Amino acid sequence: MARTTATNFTGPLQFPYATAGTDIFKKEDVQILAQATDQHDHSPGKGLVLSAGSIPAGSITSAMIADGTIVAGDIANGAITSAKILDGTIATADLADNAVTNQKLGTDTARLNLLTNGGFEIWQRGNGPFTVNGVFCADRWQVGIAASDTFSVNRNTSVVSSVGSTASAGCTFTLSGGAGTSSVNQVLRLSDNPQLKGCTVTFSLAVNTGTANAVRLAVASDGAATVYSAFHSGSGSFSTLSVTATVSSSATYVMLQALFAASCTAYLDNAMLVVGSVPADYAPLHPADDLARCSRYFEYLTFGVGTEYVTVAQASSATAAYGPLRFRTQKAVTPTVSASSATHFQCYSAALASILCTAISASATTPYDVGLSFSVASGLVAGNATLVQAISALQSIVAEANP
Amino acid sequence: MSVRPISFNADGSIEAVYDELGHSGTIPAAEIKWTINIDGSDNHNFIVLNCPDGCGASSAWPVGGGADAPNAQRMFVEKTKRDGCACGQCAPGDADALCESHVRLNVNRMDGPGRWQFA
Repeated sequence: MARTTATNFTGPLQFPYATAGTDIFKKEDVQILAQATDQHDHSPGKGLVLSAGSIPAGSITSAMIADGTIVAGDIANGAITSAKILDGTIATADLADNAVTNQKLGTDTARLNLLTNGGFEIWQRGNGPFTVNGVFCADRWQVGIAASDTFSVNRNTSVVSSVGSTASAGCTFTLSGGAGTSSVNQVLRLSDNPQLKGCTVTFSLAVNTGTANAVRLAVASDGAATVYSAFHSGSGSFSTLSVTATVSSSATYVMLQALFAASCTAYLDNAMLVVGSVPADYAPLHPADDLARCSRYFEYLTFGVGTEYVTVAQASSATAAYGPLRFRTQKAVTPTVSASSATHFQCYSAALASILCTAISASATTPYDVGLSFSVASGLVAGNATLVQAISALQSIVAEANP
Repeated sequence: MSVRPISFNADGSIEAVYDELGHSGTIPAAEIKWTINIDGSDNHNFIVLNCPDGCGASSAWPVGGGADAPNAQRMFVEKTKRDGCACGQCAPGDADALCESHVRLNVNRMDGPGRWQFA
């Protein structure tokens, strides 16, 4: 065997091998080997390059890695978890365009409420109690009574779900054969709101009751099975229940229900219906918008007694006059128009003398206006105009259109 | 909040309520009347109901259904079967299906397809 030299040490540290007994041995060989051992640090020319297997697992610490040297390729796909990201550091630019889905939104992301009077703030029909099946209580919210169940719904101003809420629907319910199908509900006719067809929607409602398993939500329609939420726990405080459903493309209506399955007192407030699978915290409308939505279905027209004119009518004879009354808000369908007693109104003669009405009726109604006919005993002049005025605080003209 | 029918009797009368004042009672068939046009003719698109309590309140119901489509449409069908239609298309005693079809046509004309809710 001939003398050879080390391959992992180079330069002055490249010591020779003497691998056979006949090889010459020099003291310098030991000196170089001693220097090589002394300077051995695995750098080029000073020993074998350090392999991964030479490093014990879990022994490389952060201090051994130069700052700013870890590149994306060093990190396995899908390995970075939320805990590794400092809260509040993800910026908008880190998100791909159009990548955040509805499912990723928090409930406090304000979204458009598809309900009318979701906050139970507007009660144009009065404060109640409303106890009859099919009657509307708060605007657009209808009482549905099954079997011999009883309901009493009123406007409650003391038990509300949020600081700004001024009213909730206070419900006293007694179960008697209804088997959990009695409800306070809002129906969306898809002839009125056809764009909901095929949408996934989430209905949420703040419920307060001290009775467990008494109140839950449901989304019902004629195109799909009814979907239910969990029951309220009966905690005696407000809890927001929610339920998600997909509206059938063939549905003709969607009914959002608070269903009552046990006798209880419950309070309903701050309902939301949003497109998407995540419920949205209640977001109040501007009061003008809130009332305008309600007025699409119910408009309660009253007039200042002696200070405000109902309309200007044209007399067709000494006893009859006809005049238009334009609604403040276009109705969803042609409305039923109701007028209080004719004795609440008067016409003016040509000499501006008061003439009490003896009959008032509506005809030629459209979603925009109504033609009113006024009858009097005598005193009008055919072809003349006559001012019509309210003379009683009890007067009202109501247009109601429920699609 | 309207003078509204809640049930229908065999003699053609209806049970009605006026929610606003808590009034209720029976309205005879003869008092279920078409509204009168400005020229004095009957209008088959509207029926007027006076509060049975006699308080003077009245409601003009459109054939489309207004505040309560199922009951209002039924009221028009029952009246048309009983009295014929104001327009003359249906006569008293005409087949039920003919009367219902005529009312349904008027419903569609007024509020569009999809409004019919009387089953």
